Amino acid sequence: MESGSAQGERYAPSEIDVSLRALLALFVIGFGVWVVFAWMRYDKNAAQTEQGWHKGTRQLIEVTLVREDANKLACASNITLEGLSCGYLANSQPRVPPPQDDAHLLRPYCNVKNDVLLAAGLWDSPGMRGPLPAERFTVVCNYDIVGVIKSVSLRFSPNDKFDPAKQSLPVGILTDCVIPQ
Amino acid sequence: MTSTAVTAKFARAARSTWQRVTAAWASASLTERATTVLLGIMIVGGIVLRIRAVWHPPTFTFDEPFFVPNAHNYLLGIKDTNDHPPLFKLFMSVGILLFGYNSAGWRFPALCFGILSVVLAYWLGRAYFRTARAGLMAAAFVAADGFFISYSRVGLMDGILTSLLLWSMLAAISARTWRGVLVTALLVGIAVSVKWSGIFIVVPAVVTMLLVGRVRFWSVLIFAVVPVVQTGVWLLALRLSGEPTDLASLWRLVSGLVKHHVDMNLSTNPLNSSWYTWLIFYRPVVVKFSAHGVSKFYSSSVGNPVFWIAVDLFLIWSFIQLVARATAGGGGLRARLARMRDFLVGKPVGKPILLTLLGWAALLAPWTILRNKFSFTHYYLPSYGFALLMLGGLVAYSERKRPKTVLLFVALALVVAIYFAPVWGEFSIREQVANRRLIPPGWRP
Repeated sequence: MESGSAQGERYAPSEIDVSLRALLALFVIGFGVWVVFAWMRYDKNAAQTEQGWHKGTRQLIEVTLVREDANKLACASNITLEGLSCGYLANSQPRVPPPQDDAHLLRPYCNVKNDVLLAAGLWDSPGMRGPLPAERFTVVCNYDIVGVIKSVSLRFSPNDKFDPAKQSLPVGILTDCVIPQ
Repeated sequence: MTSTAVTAKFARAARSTWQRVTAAWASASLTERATTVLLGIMIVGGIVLRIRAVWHPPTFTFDEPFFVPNAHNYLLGIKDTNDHPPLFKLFMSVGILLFGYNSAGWRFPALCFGILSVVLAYWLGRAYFRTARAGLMAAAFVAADGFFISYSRVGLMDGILTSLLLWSMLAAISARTWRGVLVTALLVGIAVSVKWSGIFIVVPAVVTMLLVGRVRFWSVLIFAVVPVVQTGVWLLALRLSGEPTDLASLWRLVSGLVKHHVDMNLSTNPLNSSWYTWLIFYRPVVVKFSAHGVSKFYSSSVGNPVFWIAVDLFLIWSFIQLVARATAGGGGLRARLARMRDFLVGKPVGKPILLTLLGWAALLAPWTILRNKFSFTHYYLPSYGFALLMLGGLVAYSERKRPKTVLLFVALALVVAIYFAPVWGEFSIREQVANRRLIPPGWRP
């Protein structure tokens, strides 16, 4: 309304500075929101979901099992990730040579929220070496995610055919497994 | 420039701003001071409403499932299957990297840009109307409007798009040479990489640069960088998701998405609303809704009725004035056009109002023509931003002659904002209490 007035001249912004100022404002706002989130303990309110898993993270998970699963669960894929591989190739034939031990052999597991994951190392974990319960039980482990596999087939019983996974699955190593008392 | 010089520059700017604020306060009347206090409450309250418990609910709401898993896909290095350009999801993946794959992470970018919109409204209002008062009004109106508050609280792209479009216009109105035009074009390219409908900002941006900044006409050709920016963003996204990054693959992807969006005009949706109903918020979406027992939590995108009714009344009044000047008073076509022109360039309209109106119309027009069947109220958000800028300028102008009327208007807007705050900012309320605010059945989830 006061175009051309002295007041207007005083407020005329320079053409580059104005956008740099807006960029600076965005970063200041982002930092401020980060501080407020931390202060309001966002991590207690915005619960992590299983979908929050990404490469390089460690998650605490709870897996449901029966002791026969050590011989029943298997996956098939040609991919080897960080030295971890399935016991079978994509053509459903056993991998030759087979993965050297349980710490390198991927198997499919379901956590208590029914999310499927591929993991190695569960049965060699010190907490699993004693006698296992005869009934279905749960195991709590640290799950270190090393990557994701898109093309993989799963089998939950030796009598079943390998069934292609419908989605990408996280791949990782299970450690420090314990059976909760 | 050394860091010492930059610090000194900021210190000088801060000191100068403080001196201007204190001088303006000292010279203001008691009524204007009261209005200023109410505007300040609107801004602070609006920002608090945006931030408070933004992570609630910790699950996907409304259209978040279309975007959040795809943002996460970029971190996993797998394909983005969403049908919009990638930048919004890349912003969201930054939030997920900072806070984890949770509701705080995926709503972080929308919240930051939502607060930035308040700051941009101040700068843009000041730049359009050449008075800080108009900027303050515009910032307070954006801050205390539920349409903007709700889209700051949800992992959706429309609030971010609006913020980037306001930023683009701020760059456009400040442009004086080709460098300013280039900055504007880069920002438009970034906005278009969030959502394609942002491209229509080019019309008001170019007109503003030519009329206000008086840049050379040829410099408008610099807008050719907009598709280059979009291509660059898209190639980066494809690289992150492990997809082919050659131009032929990108072309196939983009042309497939364009066809998909054109075909969507044949779809139906219960939340669908035509563009002309947006002006009266006939079908605003409750973008977040959750329940714990009898407690309900709403984040409705209905705007502050005081603001949108005022905008609509001004548009109707202006239209009547134009029609009256065209049809009454006699004379030939030239005389009638001259009378219409006098109205448009005189007070209270004038060039700044016409420019904000152009922004409003340019961002609304595509939905009246291109996709007028499968459209939703939130498409109006960028356009509505310019309507609030216009309102800020009008109210600041009116304050000089009728400060008490403006005080009453601002007070009424604040009271209405306080009344609607529970259904904008997800307060724990009973359904019947919410229904007293969301009165038309079309406003309820």
